[in-house]
Amino acid sequence: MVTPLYIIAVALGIAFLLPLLEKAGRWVVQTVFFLTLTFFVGVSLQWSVGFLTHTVTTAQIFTAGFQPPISINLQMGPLEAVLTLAVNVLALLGGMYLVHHLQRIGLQGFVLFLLLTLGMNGLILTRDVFNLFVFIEITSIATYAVIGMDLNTDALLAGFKYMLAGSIASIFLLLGIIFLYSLTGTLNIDGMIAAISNSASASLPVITIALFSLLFSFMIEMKQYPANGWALDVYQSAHPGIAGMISAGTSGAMMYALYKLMPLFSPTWALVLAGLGLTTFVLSNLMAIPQKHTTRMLGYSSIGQMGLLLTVMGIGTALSVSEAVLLPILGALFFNHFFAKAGLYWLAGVVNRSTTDDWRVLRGHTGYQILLGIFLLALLGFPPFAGFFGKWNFIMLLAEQGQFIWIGFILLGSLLEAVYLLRWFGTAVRGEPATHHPLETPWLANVTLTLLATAVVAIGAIFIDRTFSNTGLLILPFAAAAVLILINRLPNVLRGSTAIAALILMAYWMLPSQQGLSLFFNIIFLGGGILILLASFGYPKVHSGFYALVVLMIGAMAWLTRAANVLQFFFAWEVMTASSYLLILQGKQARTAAYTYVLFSLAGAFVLLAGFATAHMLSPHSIGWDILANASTLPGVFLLVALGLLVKVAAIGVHLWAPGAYAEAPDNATPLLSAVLSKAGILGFVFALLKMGTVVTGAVSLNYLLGWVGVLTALLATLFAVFQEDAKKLLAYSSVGQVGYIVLGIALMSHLGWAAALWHSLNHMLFKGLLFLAIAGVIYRTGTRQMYQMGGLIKQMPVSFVSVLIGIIALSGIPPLTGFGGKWLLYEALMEKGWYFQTAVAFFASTIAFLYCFRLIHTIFLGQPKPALKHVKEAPVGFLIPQAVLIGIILFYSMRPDKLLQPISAILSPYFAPTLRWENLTVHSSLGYWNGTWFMIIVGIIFVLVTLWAFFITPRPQKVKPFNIVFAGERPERPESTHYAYQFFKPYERAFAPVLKPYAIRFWHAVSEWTTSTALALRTLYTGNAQTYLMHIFILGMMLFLILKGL
Amino acid sequence: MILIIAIGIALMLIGFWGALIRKNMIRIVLSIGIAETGLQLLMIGVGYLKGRTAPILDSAVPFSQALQRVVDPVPQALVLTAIVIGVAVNALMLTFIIRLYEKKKTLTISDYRDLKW
Repeated sequence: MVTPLYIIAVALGIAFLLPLLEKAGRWVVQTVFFLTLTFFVGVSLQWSVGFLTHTVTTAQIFTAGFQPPISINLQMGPLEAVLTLAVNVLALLGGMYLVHHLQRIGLQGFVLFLLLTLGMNGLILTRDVFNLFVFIEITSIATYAVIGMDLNTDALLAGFKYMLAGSIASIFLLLGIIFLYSLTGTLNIDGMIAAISNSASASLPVITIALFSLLFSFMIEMKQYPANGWALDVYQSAHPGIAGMISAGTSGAMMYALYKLMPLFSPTWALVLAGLGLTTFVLSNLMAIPQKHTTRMLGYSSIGQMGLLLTVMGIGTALSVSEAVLLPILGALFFNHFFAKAGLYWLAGVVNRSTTDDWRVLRGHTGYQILLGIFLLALLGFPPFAGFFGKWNFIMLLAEQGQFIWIGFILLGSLLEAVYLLRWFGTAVRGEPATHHPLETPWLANVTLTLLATAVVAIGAIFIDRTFSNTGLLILPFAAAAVLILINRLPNVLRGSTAIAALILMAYWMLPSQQGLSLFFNIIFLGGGILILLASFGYPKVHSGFYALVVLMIGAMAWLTRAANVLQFFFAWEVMTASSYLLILQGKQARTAAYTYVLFSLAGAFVLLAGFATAHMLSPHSIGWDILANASTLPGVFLLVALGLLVKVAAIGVHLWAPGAYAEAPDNATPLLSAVLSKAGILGFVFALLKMGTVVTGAVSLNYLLGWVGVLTALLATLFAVFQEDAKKLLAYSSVGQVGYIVLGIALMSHLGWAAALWHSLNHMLFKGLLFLAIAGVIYRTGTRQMYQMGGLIKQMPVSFVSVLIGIIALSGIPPLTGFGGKWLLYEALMEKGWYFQTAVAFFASTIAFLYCFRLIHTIFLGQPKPALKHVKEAPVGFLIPQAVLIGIILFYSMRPDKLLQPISAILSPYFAPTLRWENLTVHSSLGYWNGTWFMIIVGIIFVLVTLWAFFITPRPQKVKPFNIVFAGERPERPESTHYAYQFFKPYERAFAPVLKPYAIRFWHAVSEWTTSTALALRTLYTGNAQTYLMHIFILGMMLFLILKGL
Repeated sequence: MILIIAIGIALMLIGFWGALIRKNMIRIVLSIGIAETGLQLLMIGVGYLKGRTAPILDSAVPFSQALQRVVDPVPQALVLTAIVIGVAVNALMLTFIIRLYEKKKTLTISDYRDLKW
């Protein structure tokens, strides 16, 4: 093993040698520079591998042949090895990334860079507080100088502010060190810890002052609120390459230095630290929201992440959490942020646009978009990245300790972080096309960015591997997605077949081992996914990445059905959220819609997570589904879980995301979202309610409330659907309403209610898939989503017409098709339960549904054909095949409802006593009976008779010419207003006006306004005046001192 | 030695005060310098042992008696390091001020508020 002392020695030696080598030529300098950095990586890699294979043990390196306290000692343990490895890898990549910048600075640049690297390594290795001070100063001075080398006013100014803050921090650090030395007689950290914890003098005021000074100094260096204005300026104006090094490397090394000192502080002090960290985390992320300047926004995020890490460290010490629990959390959050944030800064350097709005230039640069996506999703703690596991484990740790308020604020801060980071991502991927200044794409920077992304993914993989035992099945969707991205250039048919083959493979592996409810839902997910994906063959060209995202989304949903515990469920849930978000974002105009979708989904997911955490608090030794069983003792569990899931099913009030997401998603993705994805929330309800049962708090049954939410969703969404001009929005609201019925059925908690819910889940998948596919075909041919721009298409698109006809009959719940079965079961269940008023509302809602069903088919297919659409052809056969299959299934189940209802009954019998009885093909409930087969036959006969009769009474139908409308000499300003189908149901809209007021939109709009204006008000704290920043530092010191002294 | 420590603390407070109220950037840097000097005095004061001499082994202090005759050498070593580092940082700050002055021709700190919020 090469002793790490050589890192320090070689760095110093080479730094002094470089000026001499300059004579030999620039390339010699650079070669030596990179060789040195590679050597550092080699040393730390050697130690890391040694610790991993257990061939080395923690080494103490003593200087000058003495033992502490006489000598300064370095320690190379597993943590140090991994951290120096990370820092040195970052330095090597940073050197590559910055090489042109360093060349411009000249020789000093390379020297300073080496010193910076040396400082970071020293900070990690040293076990001596004074040595720590020296390394902090080496790191800082090198950083100041590198920043100052830029010679632009902003960078100089930021550097000056940094130095002022750094000087104050140094003064307090030295103050702390000297007092601690005078009290303990040693500078060795371990010696100090031993002396402080053993001595009776621990309560002396001098010790308090000493420890306070030390702590205060670190709080400045770690950029805690409000003493962090200088850091924002540095992140904003330093070269992004340097900013990345500071945000990841320097801050990280500083954090580890504090980690070493943590045992000096009492648990109450640690709790104060955690509180300060959390305040920083939440407030920085809040203040970042109105920020438009890319690197300053990233600065807020960096500061926030430091706050989060400090919170974890503080909580760990305060609650004396064992290292075995704490280190994985810290490690996941730390390394995830380390590489992702460096990547973001460096990417910002390549894109080189100051405001986030200008990141529109990334349109067309798919590679950069993917990199940005990886870094951002990792930073936000989406799976499969390590941040997910860090946050999950930390929240569960807090739950075990009953620290619920902390969980709330951590989730709040994380959500706020998503608000601005994903807005930025949306602009970069789907912004308005900009006036194009071509982006420079330096290959060396591209290589470093790719390596960083690889590191982020690899760290995630490590955590997946150590968290889940059976990773084989877990990998399949990711592997399939990766393959699909690789074969992106191949013809559509090949890509589509590969995607379908992957889904079939999943079905082959998963379905045979599943039963009951899991199997039922997995058939909906995988079966529906495969069927609808068939339609993509109809498109000549499909978005790159479409298939990968679909396979990932459907795969995640398939995992949901297999989730053995809440962790697996939440993991799959978040993969599903991320992939569906990216899928929606593929729509051309989808920026706002996808943004709304992902924010609502994330908020819902966090509420769900809070629910799981609350349940975990009640049973701290398990994360299995059983933890939900205790929900009756704590209704909060039910409320949080239900609320989180309600967001996913777009219940009324939190439905805002649904119309936009369904409408703006690519036309081939919408059927998947509506038919398949919307059932994920239902699956969540099924799993959760099976465990939680009926929860009564006070006098109110929460299931009763849930039922009302379901029925009101059905009513209001149906009303909204009636007044849409956009065919996809109409169907979107319709989906929301239909899922409302399913929630109502689930809330009943009875055999019949659940049978209705399951029946309707499958049925909705079938007919809504059918409708969206048919409409996608129409939109594909006509090029518009506005229904009044269509009309009379029955002649040109007869097959699509039949599809829509079958679809709306199945939807509206009239005999003979499957919809009737669902409605029959639901009403029976409602009346059986005695929920008469809900029955009335549900019945009313499904009557209103006729209005939009009629409008859909009438406006698009009947009436006068538009001259512009004269030459429209039937939808491509690729669209029609899956429609035919769906129609076939609907007709089959309509003929033989027993084939569906009997299995559903059987699935439910372990949970609810069956109340359905069969006599041949007739099903009897307590209230009545129904024979679907006879229904079908009778209705079929009536249909034939009526058709024949209509045929005979009108022997000679007369054709009406298009546009017989007379404008009476006036040319209308808005021609669509003369179209009979425009504002078709306007009178009803007036009648319903009071109900239809956009209360929910106004509410969420106000939430967003308030958040932004609070952020705007808060951030005026950072006036830009260096002296004000100094003041903030002293205010922080004063407050910390008062709080700590008071404890 | 209490006196030295008291002077040290007073200098530190004066330095902080100056850094917070002086508008001229050079004066702010000098204030920081004063605070650092105060800190250095304080460090020496903490390491002082009554009636002893400087920790330099020469003819006045034979090696065998060093432990009884000299003050604690560690704070002295620390102070030396701190002085060097302080000088370096202050010099660097002054160069930054020179650069900034060249760009904007002003030394008033409140004139430099380009980066904010």
